[in-house]
Amino acid sequence: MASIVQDVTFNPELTADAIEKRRNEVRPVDRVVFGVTGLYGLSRGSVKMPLSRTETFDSGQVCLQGDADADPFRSIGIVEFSKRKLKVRYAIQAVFPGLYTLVTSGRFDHSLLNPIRAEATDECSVLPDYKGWRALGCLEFLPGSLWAGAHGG
Amino acid sequence: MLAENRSVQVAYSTTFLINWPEHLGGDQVKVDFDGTMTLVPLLLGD
Repeated sequence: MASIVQDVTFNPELTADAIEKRRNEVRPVDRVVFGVTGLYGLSRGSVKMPLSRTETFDSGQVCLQGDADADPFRSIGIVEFSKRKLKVRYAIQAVFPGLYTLVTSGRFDHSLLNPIRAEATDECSVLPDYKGWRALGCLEFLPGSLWAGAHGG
Repeated sequence: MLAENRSVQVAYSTTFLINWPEHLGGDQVKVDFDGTMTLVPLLLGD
């Protein structure tokens, strides 16, 4: 690793009073970098999931949750209030209850139950009252499951 | 809330359009989700 030696010159204006004034200064906040935690979601219904080119199964009600195996900094965002813009990326795992029937039927390998991981990135317009946003996003299914390589938004 | 350096729990309602890879038939499916997430402020800037 390369090291950098930085010359920090003495600042004659550095006083306890100056620091205290800096600490108490109230500045308007326009941008906030935030982390995403406690992400959960449920699908409104079951969908047809492919197992191959010709075979599908019913997913059951799909459950989403934040990906506990992902680096927490994979789930992060920034909001810019003056532009009413928000960009967020979050890592998720999806649970498909319909897999239980498949795996217990003995026809399929238990590896189908490996975590189904995905990552979503949304660019959003925050509503004028800041109570919601409209998102245009992308979704990528990550390696590790049969459905890796699926994508959308 | 975020601008006041406080966490905020938000509800979301979204639809994902998913394209399956070719080896899985290449079809598309739409899935509607409702859920929540918590936004935790990490750094405030002006």
